[in-house]
Amino acid sequence: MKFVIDADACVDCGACRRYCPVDCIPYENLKHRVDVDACTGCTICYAVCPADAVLAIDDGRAAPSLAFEVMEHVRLKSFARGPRVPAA
Amino acid sequence: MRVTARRAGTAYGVAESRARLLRLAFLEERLATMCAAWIWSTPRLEDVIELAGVAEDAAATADAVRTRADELWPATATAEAPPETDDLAALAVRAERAGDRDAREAAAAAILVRLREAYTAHLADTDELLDGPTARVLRPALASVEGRLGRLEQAPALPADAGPEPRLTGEPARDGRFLVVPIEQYRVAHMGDTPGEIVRHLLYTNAYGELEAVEVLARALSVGRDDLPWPMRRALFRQLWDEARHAEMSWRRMEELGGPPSPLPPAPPVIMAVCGAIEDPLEQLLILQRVVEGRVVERHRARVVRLVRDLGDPATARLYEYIVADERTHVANSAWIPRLVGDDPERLAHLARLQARCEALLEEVLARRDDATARPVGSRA
Repeated sequence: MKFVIDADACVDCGACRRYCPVDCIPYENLKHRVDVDACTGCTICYAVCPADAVLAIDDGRAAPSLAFEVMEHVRLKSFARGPRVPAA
Repeated sequence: MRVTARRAGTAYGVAESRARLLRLAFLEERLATMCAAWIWSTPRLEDVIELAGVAEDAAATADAVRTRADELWPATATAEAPPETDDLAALAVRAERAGDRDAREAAAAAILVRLREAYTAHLADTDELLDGPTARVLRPALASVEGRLGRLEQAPALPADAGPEPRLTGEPARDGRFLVVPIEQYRVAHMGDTPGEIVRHLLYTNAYGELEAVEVLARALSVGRDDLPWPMRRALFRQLWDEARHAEMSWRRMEELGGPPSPLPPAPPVIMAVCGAIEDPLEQLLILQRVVEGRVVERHRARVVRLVRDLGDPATARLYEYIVADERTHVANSAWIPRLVGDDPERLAHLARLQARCEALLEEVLARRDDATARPVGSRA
C-alpha cells in the first residue's frame, strides 16, 4: 500500500509533511505531494490528514488496516509524539 | 401569488439597476473594511466580537448584492462606465477615521442609515415581475441593515471633520483580562491539577489565540489593503467572524466553568510572534493559515479526545469540534495564495522559506514549558 495526495481535496495544512517519519512529503511551489518511491506505507499521513485528502493506492504489498479505530490510534500516537521540527 | 401594482416595463432599466446595486455593494464593502480596521485599536473583547459580526454581515450583504449586479448585463450596453461612488467614498473616509467607540458607532450608524434609505428606495422602485431576483436580494439586505442598526445604541452624529488615518501599526489594543507577556518571556504554564482547572486554562488560552487571529485578519483586511480579490476577501471576512465567535464561545464556556484560571497564566502571544512583524498581507495570510491554523486543527482534534476521555467534559469537547470544523475551512482559504502568486518561482521560493522559518519559530515557542511534567495534549497518562 502506498499513498498519494488528492490535490483537489488537500487544504495544504502540512500535517502529513510534519508527521511523516521518513520525510517523503515534499512541499514544492506551496503544494504537497507524496514521493511514492520513498513512501514506506506507514499510514501516518492517512491518519493525521484533517481533509481526507490522502488516498491509499494498492501497490501489491500487504495492506495495513485502515479501519477508523486503527487510524484513531495512529493519529493520537502521532499527535502525542509531536511533529518533526522542520529545518529553518 | 404576489401581484405587482407597477405596469410591466416601468421599473429601472437593467443598466440603472446594476449601477445602483454596485454603489450599494461598494458601501457595504467599505463598511466591512472599516469595521476590520477598527478592530486593531479596539481593546474590549466584546467590542471586537461585535465589530467582526457587523463586518461579516456587511460582507455577506455586499456579496449577495454584487452577485446580482454581475448578473444584470444590459443588452444594449456600449462601454460600461463604473458607477459614481464619490459621495459614498467621502462618507466612508470620514467614517474610517472615527477615533473612539462613540465616533465609530456614529460612523457605522450614518452608513447604515444611508444604506437603509437606498435599499428601501430601490426596493420600492423595483418591479417584482421584471426584476424579481433583485427584490429577493434587497429584502434580506434591508432586514440585515435594520438588524445591524438595532444593535447600535443611540449614536451621536458623525463629525464633519475627518480625523487621522486609522492606526494599524505597532501593537494592537489589548483587553486587560488577558495577561500578555513579550514572546521572549513566554513559557507554556502549568495547566492546573484538576480537570476543571485544565479545561479553564485551555479555554482561556484558546480565547486569546482566537483574538490574535482576529487581529491578524483584521489588519490584512483593513483600509488601504483592499487590493486582494473580492472572493478571497469575502472568505476572509467569514474567517474573521469565525475566529471572533471562537473567542466568544471559549470565553463564555470558561465563565460557565468558573471564570479565568487563577493565578492568570500568560496568554500565548504565538500568532503575533510569527505574523506580527510581517507587513505583506499575502505573507501574513500564508503564515496564519498554513503555519498556525494547520497546527490548530491537529491540536484541537487531539483535545476533543482528551476532553472526553481524560477530562470528562463532553460539552467543551463539542465546542472544540465546531471550532475544528471551521478551522479546516480556514486552512483551505490559503489556496488563494498560490493562485495569486502564479508561476513566479522567486516569489514561491521566498514564501516557502518564510513558511519554514515561521514553522521553526512556532515549534520552538510551543516547546517552551515551565512544567516539566506536562504531557502533550492527546497522550495517555
